[in-house]
Amino acid sequence: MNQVTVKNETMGYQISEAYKSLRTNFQFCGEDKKVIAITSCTMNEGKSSISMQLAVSLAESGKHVLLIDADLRKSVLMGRTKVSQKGIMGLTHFLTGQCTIQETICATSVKNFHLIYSGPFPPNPAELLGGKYFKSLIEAIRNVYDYVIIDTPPLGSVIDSAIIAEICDGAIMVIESGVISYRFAQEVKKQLEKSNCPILGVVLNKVDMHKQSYEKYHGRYYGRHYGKYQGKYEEKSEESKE
Amino acid sequence: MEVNQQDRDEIEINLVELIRELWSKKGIIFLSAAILGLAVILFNKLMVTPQYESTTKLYVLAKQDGVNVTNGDLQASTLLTKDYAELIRSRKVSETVINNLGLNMNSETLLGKMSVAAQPDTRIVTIKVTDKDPYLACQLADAVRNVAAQHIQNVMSIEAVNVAEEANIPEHPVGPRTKRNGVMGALLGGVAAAAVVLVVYLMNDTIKTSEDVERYLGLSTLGTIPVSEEEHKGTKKKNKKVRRK
Repeated sequence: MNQVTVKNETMGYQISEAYKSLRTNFQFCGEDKKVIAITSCTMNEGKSSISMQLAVSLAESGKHVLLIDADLRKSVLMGRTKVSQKGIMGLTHFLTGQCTIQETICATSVKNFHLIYSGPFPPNPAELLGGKYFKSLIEAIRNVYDYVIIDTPPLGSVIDSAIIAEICDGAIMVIESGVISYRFAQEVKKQLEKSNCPILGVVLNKVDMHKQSYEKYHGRYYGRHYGKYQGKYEEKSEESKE
Repeated sequence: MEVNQQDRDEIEINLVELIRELWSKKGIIFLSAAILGLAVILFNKLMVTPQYESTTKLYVLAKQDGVNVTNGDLQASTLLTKDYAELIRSRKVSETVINNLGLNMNSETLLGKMSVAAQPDTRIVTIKVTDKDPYLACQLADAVRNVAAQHIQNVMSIEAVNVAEEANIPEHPVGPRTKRNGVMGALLGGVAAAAVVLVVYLMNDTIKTSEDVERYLGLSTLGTIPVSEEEHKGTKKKNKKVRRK
């Protein structure tokens, strides 16, 4: 199995706390929600970061997690990780029948966290994802991992994620705060609903905590009472990473 | 019913949010006020020629006969001041003045320069003439008064119209009122900037909070990821660029 290193993103106290609450809320969605597609309205809303962090976060809580980069058109996962060896097979290799599932899965520096790269850009991503190979991939890994998180292209631009969501147990919409018009989001939601995949909820990304009324809670309550744990927490997490 | 509900939702404005938005943009609002105020002051100082105003007054007394002024005379005169004012403004007066002084203007221009006001409950008619040349203003005021007196005598067939005050040569310009205009400009700038901020806020139909998610999408929010501190300052500009594309 290929070995890759996940680049450690230094996160603030607030952000890592936010990912933890996201993980908890996600786990409350139910045990049967194992294969999850993550999409958004447009690009750059933070799908990949959130898929990655959610996967890492779930893996850290002791679950076996597989992250599939199904954004065949504009993949960024390669840049977020450090690959030591060359010639890693990606999802497109598997979908076009060039290799087996086992060859595409990479182990990472995070325990219990595996991932599949998207591979080279194919001319027909929508057809590949709608084909039988992808379905068989999901069926096969469903029993191996506790959670499978699929990073998909933005649904506002391309239809890929609706195709992927069709065979998933649930979908999560990432919405960047203050960028997406609600009409656009409603359109995307409708499109996603057509795939008969339950939408588990929305992850609101890049929220300006200073500007909005969240400040009431985070600034004062957490800040004053739990702020003193902040230092301890960071020390601990650094230790655990080492 | 459902449509009604939606309509009501759309015009709902969060006043607290609105005020907070205005407060957060106070820099822009004050800057706009300062810039427009200064611009108006500069414009007034540099571009607008100062105007001088000369004042002359007529005393109206419709004496019937004899030497003594009766109460009836005074009352009649009070009622007549409006007629006087109207007669002073008549075209014949202004044309005669222009002819007499050999000025290169038409009667509308002259009427625009002068204002005639009858003080209420008195018998005094005030003629004010405004011009960029204080001497011309004085000359015009006197000329208007003289011609008007003649005209009034002819029309109303009275013996004399009394001069209450000769025209003065003004020393200080009355206009432009730089200070007042500056304040008005500053106010206008502030209000305009606030209006722009409000319009932008109201036009902004983006999803910002988890409440918006629930209201518009009917979905629950699984998580709220804050902006990372390093990104915090740069994101706004970046976001706008992305949106335009």
